[in-house]
Amino acid sequence: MKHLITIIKGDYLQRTRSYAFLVTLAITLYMAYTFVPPVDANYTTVRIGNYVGDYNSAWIGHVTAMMTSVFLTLIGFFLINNSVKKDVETEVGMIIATTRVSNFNYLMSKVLSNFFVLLSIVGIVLFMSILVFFLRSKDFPFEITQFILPYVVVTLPSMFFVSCVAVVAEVFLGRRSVIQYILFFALFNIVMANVQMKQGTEMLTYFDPFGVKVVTLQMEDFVNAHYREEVSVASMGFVFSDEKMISRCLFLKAFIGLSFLL
Amino acid sequence: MSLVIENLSKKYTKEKFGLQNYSITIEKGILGLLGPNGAGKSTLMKIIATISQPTSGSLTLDGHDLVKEPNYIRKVLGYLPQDFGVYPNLNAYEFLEYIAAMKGVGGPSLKARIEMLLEGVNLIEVAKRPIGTYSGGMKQRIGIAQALLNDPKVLIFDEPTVGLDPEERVRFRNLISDLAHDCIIILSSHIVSDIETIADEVAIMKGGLLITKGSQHDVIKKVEGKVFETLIDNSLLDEFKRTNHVVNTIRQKDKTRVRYISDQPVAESTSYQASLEDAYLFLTKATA
Ligand SMILES: Nc1ncnc2c1ncn2[C@@H]1O[C@H](COP(=O)(O)OP(=O)(O)O)[C@@H](O)[C@H]1O
Ligand SMILES: [Mg+2]
Repeated sequence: MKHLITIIKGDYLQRTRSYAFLVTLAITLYMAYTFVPPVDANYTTVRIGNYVGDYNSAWIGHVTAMMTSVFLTLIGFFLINNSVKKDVETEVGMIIATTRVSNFNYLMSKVLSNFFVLLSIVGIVLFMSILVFFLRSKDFPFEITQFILPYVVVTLPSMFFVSCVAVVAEVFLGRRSVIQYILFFALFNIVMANVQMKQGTEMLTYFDPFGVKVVTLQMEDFVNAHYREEVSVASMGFVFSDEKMISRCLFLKAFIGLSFLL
Repeated sequence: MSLVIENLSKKYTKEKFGLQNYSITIEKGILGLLGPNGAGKSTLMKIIATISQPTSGSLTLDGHDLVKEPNYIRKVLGYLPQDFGVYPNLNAYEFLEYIAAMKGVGGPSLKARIEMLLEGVNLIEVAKRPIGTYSGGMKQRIGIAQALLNDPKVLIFDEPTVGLDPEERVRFRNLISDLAHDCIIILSSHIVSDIETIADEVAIMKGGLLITKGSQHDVIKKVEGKVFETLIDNSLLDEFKRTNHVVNTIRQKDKTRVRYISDQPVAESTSYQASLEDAYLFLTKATA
């Protein structure tokens, strides 16, 4: 166990001290900044039917956590989908192969170091989203738990998911990176399409590795209950629109609960 | 401890052998593998290090089959591959700790051992710098240090002195001699002088075959009394080379001093003390 930690640490340090890490971090930070559009912006990120939330802690916490979950999964995959390949390419693998470390422990260390690499980015993005809160939100109190909870519940599991997928892809497809990117991109799109489908028409109801569907369903229920609506679709991503969004006046006012946890 | 290799073959492609019917028994002490590029030294070492599987034949360490039971040797193995990599963004301490963990070595004494090894390979002053900034020779020395992390009983160094300057070679030799008690140490090189100062025994190989194995003295004996030098007109040199086994030439104005190996020396030849180099060149050329 102690050895596993040392192995993960070495791997983690090697990879976070790279340009690829800094570039991914920079891109993610920039995106995190755009996840909460200014009130007069011509795009939305998370939208429930025609509703978007008021910029309180709950909304900003959940939206940035969900968007990070989705986008960091996509670009993070490119960052982490080379942990085994790198050992082969750099021939560090020549040394590792003669040690007694088992294949399982080796791959496990790769999954976990992938995870911690992404986790570091998530941590910085979380901090960034709090800054965005103070930038965009004027009239609501800052509640730290409304930030931490969605990141823990939504973002972390999907980071773990992609960490595993990246290693599994390398194990089965070896050094054929392009195929891995294409397959992953396809998987990503299937998941996203599934998540954004109308309630009840999803291809795979429970397939929600990014953990965003649980939240959007909550949000839909909330809108339907409080505004007597029949909303059953949520959209995510950067949705641009020239027309003024008709819904902008109807912001969610209340805390989006995490009752799905219970 | 005894490493027994019997009829080992490694076939890379239909026609291409890395090793052919190779048999050797290796006991405690320092064995030098000598052979030109492509002789199969790395192939043999990779198989012993369990990262490559033989096509046929067997190898056992104290009776344990290493193909079936690679962990039997891995726990006592130190291996410096001919080509190996490092994590360039780690410093020497971090990298060695990482490899130590892979080898299952840890505990309170590890730090002291890393210090000792870095001292031994003369890297202590740069140990806090990322390995990516190291020169080729420094990287080679990190490779030597990692091989020694687990206090190995079987040490395999594939071309260890590549990139080392003369002073570092001496250091390496001393480090190895200090560690050589009770260990099997196998070194490879295509340069005789790297081996002759350090090896108890030498194995000369070529084309995937073992040509001879024995103490340096025994190997040299094979050409003893057959090494001669003579002066030859430059114009006759090519002809002489065709008919005699020339191991060295030194040009002197219009004549050339030729060192050659023969049972029947030409007139005006002086007999010379045979060296390992003579034996090596004779044995590897004779089987060409
Ligand atoms: N992976 C490989 N695939 C095909 N041929 C190889 C491979 N590795 C080595 N060889 C061939 O096997 C022979 C022995 O190579 P090697 O063991 O590297 O020799 P040495 O280390 O003595 O220079 C060479 O002819 C080489 O070309
Ligand atoms: Mg070699």
